[in-house]
Amino acid sequence: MIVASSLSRHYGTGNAKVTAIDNLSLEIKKGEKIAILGRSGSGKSTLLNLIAGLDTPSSGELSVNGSETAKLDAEGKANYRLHQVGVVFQSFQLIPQRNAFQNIELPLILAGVPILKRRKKVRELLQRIGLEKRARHKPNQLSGGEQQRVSIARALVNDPPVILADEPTGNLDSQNAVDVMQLMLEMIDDQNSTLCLITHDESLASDVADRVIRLRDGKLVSP
Amino acid sequence: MNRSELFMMAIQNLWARKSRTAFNIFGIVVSCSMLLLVFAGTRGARDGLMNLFGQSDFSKQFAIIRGRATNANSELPKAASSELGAGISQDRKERIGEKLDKAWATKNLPAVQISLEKLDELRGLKQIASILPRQDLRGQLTIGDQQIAARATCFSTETSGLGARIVAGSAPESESSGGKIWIDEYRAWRLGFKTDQQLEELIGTKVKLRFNVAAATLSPKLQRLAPIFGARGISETEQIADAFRNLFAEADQTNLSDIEKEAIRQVATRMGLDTPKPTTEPADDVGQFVYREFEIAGVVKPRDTTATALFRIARANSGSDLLIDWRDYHAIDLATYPNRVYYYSLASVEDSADLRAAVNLVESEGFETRSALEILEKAESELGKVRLIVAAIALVILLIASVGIMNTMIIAVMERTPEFGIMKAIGASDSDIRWLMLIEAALTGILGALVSLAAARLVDPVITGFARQYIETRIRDDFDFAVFIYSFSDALIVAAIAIAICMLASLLPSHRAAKLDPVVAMK
Repeated sequence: MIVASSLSRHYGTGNAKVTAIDNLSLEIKKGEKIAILGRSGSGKSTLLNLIAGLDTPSSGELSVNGSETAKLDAEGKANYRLHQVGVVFQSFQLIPQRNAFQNIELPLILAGVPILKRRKKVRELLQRIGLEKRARHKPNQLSGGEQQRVSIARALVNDPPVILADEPTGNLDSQNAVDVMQLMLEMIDDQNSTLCLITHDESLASDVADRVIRLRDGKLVSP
Repeated sequence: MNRSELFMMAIQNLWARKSRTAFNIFGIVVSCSMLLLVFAGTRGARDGLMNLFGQSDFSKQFAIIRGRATNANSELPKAASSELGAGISQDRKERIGEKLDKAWATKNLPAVQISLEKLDELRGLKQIASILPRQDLRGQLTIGDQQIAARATCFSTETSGLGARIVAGSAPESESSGGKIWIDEYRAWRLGFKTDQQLEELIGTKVKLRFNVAAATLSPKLQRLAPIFGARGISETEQIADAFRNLFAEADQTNLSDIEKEAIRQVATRMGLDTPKPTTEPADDVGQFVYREFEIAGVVKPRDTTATALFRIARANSGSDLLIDWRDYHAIDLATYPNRVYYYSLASVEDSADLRAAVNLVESEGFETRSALEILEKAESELGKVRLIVAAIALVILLIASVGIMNTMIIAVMERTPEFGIMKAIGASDSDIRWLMLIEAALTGILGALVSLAAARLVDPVITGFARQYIETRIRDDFDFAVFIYSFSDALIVAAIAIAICMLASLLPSHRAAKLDPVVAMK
């Protein structure tokens, strides 16, 4: 499903050269849930950005569902991000001017889904995340937990085969964190998607993931 | 992502950022409403002028004055350009050449005089509805036991417009207006017909007109100059003419100085008194007068000058005591002054659209014409210049506004960087972002144009109020035309300019937004 071989990502040149991912090889199967653990600066987010098609590897190969992101042009990458992956960010990354409904609807609009069909789907998702009554609320009118639920719904709305979650509970209190994580796992299970979860929390990683990967200085510590 | 979805999203974005949208729109409104008012104002001025012209006598009338038979073959070579040597600038050459040509024509080409026969020829031309010599017949009117001096002018039933001026009696009808006379209401009042009842009684009254018979040998110049010598009537003028003839013939036998002799010769030559007196039979009728009887058919009020107010000259032609059919006029003129040539004549066309063609036809006969066409053409070209100048100023303002719009668009991209980053992260392509920005700009332009239309309509009555006051003061009459006339095409042009300016101002910012790195943008 996700295959990385000798994947590297460097930033800067000369003395200022920083290696974020260093010759990393990895394979994640379809429907597998993996947790990527590591300290700050270990390369977790870089790896996630590479898988999400938001960044391009300096060397090596990365293939997701048969698509090699490095070989895609700008249009191809946009299409890849739209249909192949859904990303849940730590800081939610909702568009402040758009309400909950419109934020969830956005990937469907980009995918060209007809209006009636997409509205039905957004309503179902809002019901699923328990925010049907807050559909017209803008992000600043929602709590952190509610915002993250909207973010999860937006990531899953196009039924992508891969879900990437970058510390999804990092900005939430413990109760909200449990609820949000539970919701996300249920929804991923429903779609039989692959999950890559980035977290600091070892217990969360072991509870949620089928497999835990540790990164240190851009290298895989234990496969 | 299809364009209609982008369109909807752009509307949502503009609505979500109301104050920024309003600021951008304001910049457009100032210049676009000005542009629109310029277009509507010049259109209004043009239409007002055309209306004023269309309602005036001058839309269907033109004056014919004597000219030169330019098509006549002169055996003398045309020396105009050959007299212009080297060392004269082109401008001066043209100016002096023109004068030389005119002087040559005056010397060498026969004059085309306005005589009754010539007017009859012109009357037969296509598009000409009527031709009237503009010279009053001065005579004595006898009504009851009153005798007064009066001036009679001729009219043509087809183009007189007398129907609208009738106070009492009836309007002239074609072919049955001969032998009838229409009298000015003021003249009637002076004659003692003051009440409406008295005016009604005046209708059908027989009146007599007496006209002097001019001696055939007297030239029009002499006719006019006779009063200078204190001559009264035909016989005294004849006596003075005879005195000049004798003086001319016998100048050398007198003891006058050379200068005085030369002066007499010149005057006599100019007056046509340098030849012996021809022996002619006296004119018809009794003695030195021609008598005609008329029946008063109507009383008319003065010409309504509302629409002709701009063309003041029309007023000079509107004051005469009596109006008679042109055929009667011709008969009287032939009886009193068979060889008369007129200073000018007034031609009419049925439709003002035919004016240009009729003028050209008459000019091709060798006459010169005076019509309002030149004034109109000049006015239209001047209006065109005003339109261009003010439109250029408005466009400069629009360009300045576009710099402002570009500035706010660039700031918007900076403000919205995270938003564009998120959009790209969830699958928006570069072209989606670019088009979203451009559609937002186009919508801003459309909104700006719409608000400009509304603003122009709001400002319109204020400017119209001032303009109306000013125009009415200038023409001393009611001005009942619209100062601003809006047209759909003008609105479309202004909207297109507003949209184009906004989109141009957004090209660079939209390109920047499209090329943002999503990871960096989301930070």
